[in-house]
Amino acid sequence: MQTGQEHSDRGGIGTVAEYLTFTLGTEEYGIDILKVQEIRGYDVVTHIANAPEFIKGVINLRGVIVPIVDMRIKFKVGEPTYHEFTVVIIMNVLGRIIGMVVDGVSDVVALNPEQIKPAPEMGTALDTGYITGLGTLNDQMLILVDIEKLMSSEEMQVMEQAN
Amino acid sequence: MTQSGQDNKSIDLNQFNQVFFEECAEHLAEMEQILVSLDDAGPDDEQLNAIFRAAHSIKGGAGIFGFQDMTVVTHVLESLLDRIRNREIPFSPAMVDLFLEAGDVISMQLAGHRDGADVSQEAIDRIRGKLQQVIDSGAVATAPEAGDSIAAIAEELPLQPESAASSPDCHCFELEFRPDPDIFKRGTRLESLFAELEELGELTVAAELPANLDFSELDPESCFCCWRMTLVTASSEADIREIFEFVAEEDQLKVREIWESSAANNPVSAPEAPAVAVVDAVTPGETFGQAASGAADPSAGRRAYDKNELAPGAYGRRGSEAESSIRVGVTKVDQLINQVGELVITQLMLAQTAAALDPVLHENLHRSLLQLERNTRDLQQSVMSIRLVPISIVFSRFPRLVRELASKLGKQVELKTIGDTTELDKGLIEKISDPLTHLVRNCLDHALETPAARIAAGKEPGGTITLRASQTGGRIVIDVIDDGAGLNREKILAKAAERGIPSSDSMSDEEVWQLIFAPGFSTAEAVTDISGRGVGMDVVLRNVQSMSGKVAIVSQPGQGTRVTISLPLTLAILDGLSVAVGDEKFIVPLNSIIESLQPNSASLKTVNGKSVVLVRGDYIPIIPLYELFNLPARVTDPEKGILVLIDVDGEKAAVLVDALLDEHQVVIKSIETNYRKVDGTAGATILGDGRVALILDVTSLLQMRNRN
Amino acid sequence: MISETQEVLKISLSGDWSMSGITEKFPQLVQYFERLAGSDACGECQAGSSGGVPEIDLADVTDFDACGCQLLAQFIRNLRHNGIEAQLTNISDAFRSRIQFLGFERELNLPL
Repeated sequence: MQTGQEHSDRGGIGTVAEYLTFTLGTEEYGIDILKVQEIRGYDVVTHIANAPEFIKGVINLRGVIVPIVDMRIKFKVGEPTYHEFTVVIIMNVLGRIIGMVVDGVSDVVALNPEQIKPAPEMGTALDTGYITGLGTLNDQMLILVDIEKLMSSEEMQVMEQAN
Repeated sequence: MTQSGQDNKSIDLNQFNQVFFEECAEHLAEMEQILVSLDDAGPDDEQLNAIFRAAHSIKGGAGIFGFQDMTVVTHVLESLLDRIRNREIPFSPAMVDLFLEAGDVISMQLAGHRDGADVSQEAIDRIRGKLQQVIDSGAVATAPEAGDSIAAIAEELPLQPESAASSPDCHCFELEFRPDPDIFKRGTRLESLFAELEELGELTVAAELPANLDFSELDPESCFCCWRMTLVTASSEADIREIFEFVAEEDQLKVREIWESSAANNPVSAPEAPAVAVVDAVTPGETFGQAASGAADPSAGRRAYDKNELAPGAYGRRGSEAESSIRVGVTKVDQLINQVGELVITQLMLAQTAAALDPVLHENLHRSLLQLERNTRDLQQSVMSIRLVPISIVFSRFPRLVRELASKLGKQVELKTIGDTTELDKGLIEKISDPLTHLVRNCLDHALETPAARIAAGKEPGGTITLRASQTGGRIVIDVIDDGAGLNREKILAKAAERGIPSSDSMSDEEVWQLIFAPGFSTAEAVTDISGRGVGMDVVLRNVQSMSGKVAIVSQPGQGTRVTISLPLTLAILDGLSVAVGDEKFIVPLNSIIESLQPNSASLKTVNGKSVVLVRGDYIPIIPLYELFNLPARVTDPEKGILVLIDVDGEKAAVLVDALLDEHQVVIKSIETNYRKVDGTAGATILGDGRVALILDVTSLLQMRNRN
Repeated sequence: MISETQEVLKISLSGDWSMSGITEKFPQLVQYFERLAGSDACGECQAGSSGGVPEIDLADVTDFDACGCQLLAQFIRNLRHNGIEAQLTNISDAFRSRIQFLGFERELNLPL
C-alpha cells in the first residue's frame, strides 16, 4: 500500500520535493528530480538482440553504454513515434544510468506533502505499485512514479534479477 | 605545536613505512624464490649472497624504520647465512625449510606492522631458537673436521690475492648527507643508517651545524644538521645510494669518489679491519676461519659482507642500471585507458568526417589526420602496455607449493617453468592465479604417481610438472603439463554415470575429458586436503571463461596430461571484424575467425532441416545471425550473404551476415554496467560514428543455436 | 638546577633526550641559553678564567639520539658564538660511542 507517508519519507522531513514532469500519451507523470541526470533528444539506438520491444536498445553516452526504454510501448500509452521533439530522460537509478523515452518534458514542479494523495486502485497505465501518489497542480493530476522501484522490477527487464 | 608535530609525524611515517613494507615484501619474495629453486646440491655463491642480501636489506630497513622486532629474526638469519657463505657452517638441504620458515615469520611480522595482523611471539622465538641452534651446533660440528676445512680454504687461497690485485678493490667516497628536515619526525634512526654504512667499510662521520641559528627559535624536532662522511669500501656508489634509498632524495645525498685503488697497489689504504665490525659471537670455527683467510686477505677481519664485491650486481643486489619505477593505482591506469579509448573514437569520427572532404583541396588536413591516427594508435598501445605484467608473478608462487605438497604426498616432483616473461593483463594475472593453483594441485595429487608406481611403470621415479606460457597471436596460452598417469577414460565415464552427468561409451576422448569440467565431478578416490575439497574443475572452467578464456585437455594414458588455458591478451581491447546485419553492426572477435566465404549453391546443403555449408569436405552448420537475434535482415539467403567461419574449441560454425565491413581494434565496454547480460554478446564497443556495436561471443552463439 | 658555585656553572640534564622527548626538554635548554648568553656576568666569568666553563652534566640522561645530539650541539655552538665554551661531563661509554658514531664529537666539544 503506497501512501503519502512513504513519499514524505523519501522527500525529506515533510519538506517540499521537486519533480520533473513529463507526458506519456495524454497522461502527466512526475519523477524525483534528483534521479534525473540530463535530458536529451532521441538519437539512433543500437538494437539489442532478443530484448523486449520496449527496450529500444543502447546508446553511447560519452563513452558509457546506456540502455533506452520506451515507456509508451511498455505501458501502451500514446504512439511510439520518434521525431525531432522526442525526448529521452537520462536517469541515475540505483547506480545505473538508464534512458527513458517520453513524449515530452513539461516542467519542474515543487510539491509539498499536502498536495500528494495516495493513489487509488484505478485504471492508470502504470501499476499502482510503482506510484508513490497523485499530485495536484493547477487542477491537473500528476502521477508520481517511484522510478527506482519501477526500473529494478522484474517486468522492466532492465536489471539482472537476483536469481 | 606539539600536537601538530605529532600529526605530521604519523602521516609521514605511514607514507614512508609503506615504501618499506613493499620493499620488504619484495625481498621476502625474492628470498623465497631462490630458496625453493635450490636443488640438493645446495646454493651456489651467487644464490647464497642474494639470500643474504635480502635478509640484510630487511634487517637494515627494519632498523631504520624502527621495527626493532623485525630485526631480531633477520639478524640471526643473516648471521647464519653469513657463516654458510664463509663455509664455516656447511649447507644442508634441511636448512631450506628453516629459512622458509624464517621468511614466513618475517612475513608475519611485516603483516603485523602493516595490517595489524596477529603476530605469534611463540613462532618468532621458535624460529630464532632453531636458527641459533644451527649456528651454535654447526660451528661446533665443523671444528673437529678442521683438517678438511684447512685443506678447503688452502685450496682457495692462491686465488684470492690474485683477484684482489687484478681489480680495483677499494674506493674512498666522500658523502655529504643533508637530510630532509622532517627526517627525525618520520622516525628514521640515523644510528641504524650509519651502522649500515659502516658495514660497507671504514666510516668516519662528522656532523656540521649551521652557523647562525637563533637557538630559542629553532624547532628541536627538525633536522638542521648536515653530515660529511668518508667511507673506504669495496662497494660501489650504487650500493651506498641503496642504503639511503628510503631516507634521502637524490639531491640530499652527494657522493664523490676521492680515490680508487686496487688492494695490491695500495696496501696501506686498503681497508684495515675495524675491530668494531667483527661478528659478535665468536665461535671456535669462526675464529679459525678468520685466522686462516686473514693471513691472505687483509680485509678478512671485517664481515665478509663486502668481500670481493666487484660488480654492481654482486650478491644479487640491484645494479645502478636497474630500472626505476613508480607505483600507480590501478584505477588511475584504467581511467587512462578509458580516456585513450575515447580519444581513439574521436579520432575515428574525425577521420570519417574528413573522408567526405575533397582529398586535393584538404590535403594538409588529411595528412595531419593520418599523423593523428598513428599517434593515437601508438598512445593506445603504450597505455595498454602499462597494465601488462609478466606471468612470472604467478609462476613464482608454485615452486614452494609443489615442494611442500610433494613432500606431504611422498612424491618426487620437479617443477619447470617456461616463458616466465610472457606478459599479460594485470587483471588476468589476478584471476588466473586460482585456476592455475588448482590445476597444479590436481597434477600433484591425482596425476603424478608415487615413485614406486612410476618405477613399476618403467618411468623415472621423479615426475615433472611443466608450466608454460606463451603468446600466440592475440592470445596468451598457458599449459600445465604433467608426465603422470594420464586421464583414465573408464574411471571418468563411470564417475560421470554415477553422478548423473550425461555421458556415453561412444564419446570421443576429447568429449570424455570435457566431462571433468561438469559441476560436481571429482575423480579423487579420497577427498584429500590438497585437492578435491568440493571445488573441482568446473570452477577452473568458470574462472577461465569469466576471462573470455578457454580450457582444453590432451591426455595420453601413461604419458601424462596437458591442460591448456588460452586467454585474451587483455580484457580491455579486442581485434575484431565488423559485420553488418540489416541496419546493425556487430563485431566478431578476430581470433575466433577462421575465414569468410561466399558460398555457392553447390556447397549449401540441408541436414535435418538445418542448413550447412560444405567447406573442404566438412559440413559446417550455418548460424543466420538475423534469425538468432530476431533482426530484420537484407540477406536471408546464404548465397547472397557472407559466411564467417568461426572456431570454438574445435567446433566450427558459419555465421551468416549481410556484409563484412572493416577490421578494428575496439575498446571493450560493458553492457552490464547499466543493463543486463545480453545473450550471444561479450560486451559492446563504440564505433567511429559514435554508435554502439555489440561484440559477439561466439561460444554463447553456439550455445544459443544448440538451444534453438 | 643551575648552581653557580665557585664560578663553575653546572647544567644537569635528565630524562629522555631522544626524538620522543625532545620537545619537552627544549624550553629548559632555551632558558639556560638565555640566562647564559644574556648574562654579562657570565661573559666576564668566561673572560676571567677557565673556571667559568659551564658544565653540562649528562649523568641522569636516559636516552640520547641523533636528534638530541643535534640540539645539544647547537646549544653548545650558540654558546660558543656568545663566547662561552661549555663542556659535557659524566658521559656514559654508550653515549660517548654514540656521539662519536654520529659524528658529533667535535660539535659537542667532547673531552678526550
